[in-house]
Amino acid sequence: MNIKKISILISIFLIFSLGLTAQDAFGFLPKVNVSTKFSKLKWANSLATRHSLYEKENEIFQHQYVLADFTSIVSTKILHNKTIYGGYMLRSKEGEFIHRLIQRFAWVQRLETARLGHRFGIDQTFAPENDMVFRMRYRILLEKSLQGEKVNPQEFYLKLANEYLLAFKETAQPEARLIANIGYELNPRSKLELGLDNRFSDFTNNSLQYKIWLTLTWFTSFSSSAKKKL
Amino acid sequence: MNFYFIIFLMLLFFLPNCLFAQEKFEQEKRIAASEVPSLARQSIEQCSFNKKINWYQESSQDGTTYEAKTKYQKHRYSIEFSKDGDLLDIEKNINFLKINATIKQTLQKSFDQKFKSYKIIKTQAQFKTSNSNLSAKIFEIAKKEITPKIYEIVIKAKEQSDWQSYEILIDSNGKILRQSKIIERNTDNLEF
Repeated sequence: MNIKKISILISIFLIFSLGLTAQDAFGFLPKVNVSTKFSKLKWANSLATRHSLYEKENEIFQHQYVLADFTSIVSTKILHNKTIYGGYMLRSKEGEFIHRLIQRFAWVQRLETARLGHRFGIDQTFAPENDMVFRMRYRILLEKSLQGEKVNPQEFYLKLANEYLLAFKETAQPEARLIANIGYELNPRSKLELGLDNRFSDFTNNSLQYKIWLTLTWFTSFSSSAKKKL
Repeated sequence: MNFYFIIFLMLLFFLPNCLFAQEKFEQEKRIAASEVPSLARQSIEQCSFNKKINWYQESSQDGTTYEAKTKYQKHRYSIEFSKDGDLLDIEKNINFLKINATIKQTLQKSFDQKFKSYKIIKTQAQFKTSNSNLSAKIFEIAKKEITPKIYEIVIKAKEQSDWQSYEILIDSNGKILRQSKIIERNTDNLEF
């Protein structure tokens, strides 16, 4: 990695970290995603937990386990770079179970020196004693190698994403996310990503809510390897 | 749900992955011009490209090669050298639609027979010459004064039920010389 790239990286993280002093909450989001392929179907399971480390309301730094999400998604390619997904998420929060049905469509574009991913999704959330909540979301994501034209095993990459969520519920507010990750490809089946997930909501009535999550995600697969790359 | 139980589950996921990690791959990494064999560097310097030259070292089971990548007259060029700096080939990115009509028809017929569906991802024209003639050859290629003897085409095709990427080498008559499967990078981190 050269000096120019390191400077760009540091700048990006500094920009993202500027908000650390002004956020309403700060926490940690570890996640593991395991996928495997059966013929034309890919099955991905993930386990994510959420930990609150700081809340402006109480003005204290304290570790507090918030929730755990288990997600199982099946996908299939409908075109060479377009995939549809269907899945289910089980959320365990404060002793209650919340269920979510997920439908998505993703499109990955291979640029000359980067990969661009678009993801459109809808989901339906079912919580005890609550009406079903319908949400729509869109995410655009760019992955760029930091050590060459393409990412190779044992190399770093940068991943930037922007996501918008809209919930169809009276009290719900739209949410925007700005995400910056540094990724490391451990081997062709496995990647580790560390980043900051900045979530903005309630920006319609002058009471912006700003939360930052430190994310650590491990993607692993039991089906693919890479000898030559596109 | 117990937090420590979740951590334990994550560790369980991690263990089998470590067992799969021992493999050898073709790898391309960006390098400084100073790390390139001097013969290769000098050959490129003689070409007086206006755009920046990016150097890459490619390692595979077949050995190590060096590649200079640049843009010249709106086309991407990739010039490959051996580990001693001898010129191996020149590749120019071209539009598939602009290749010779007869070759295109032969290929399209061949692809239609082989695959249920396909999409051309990348087309490169391949040329050979010597180190000393590189500059003149690049000029001829740019002026389209010579036709390539070999084309390298990357396609994404559906043979049976799933989509697969292939790298196909064809000669100037449209005859397929070699077809190899490209195993692509996992896209989980872009999708989930």
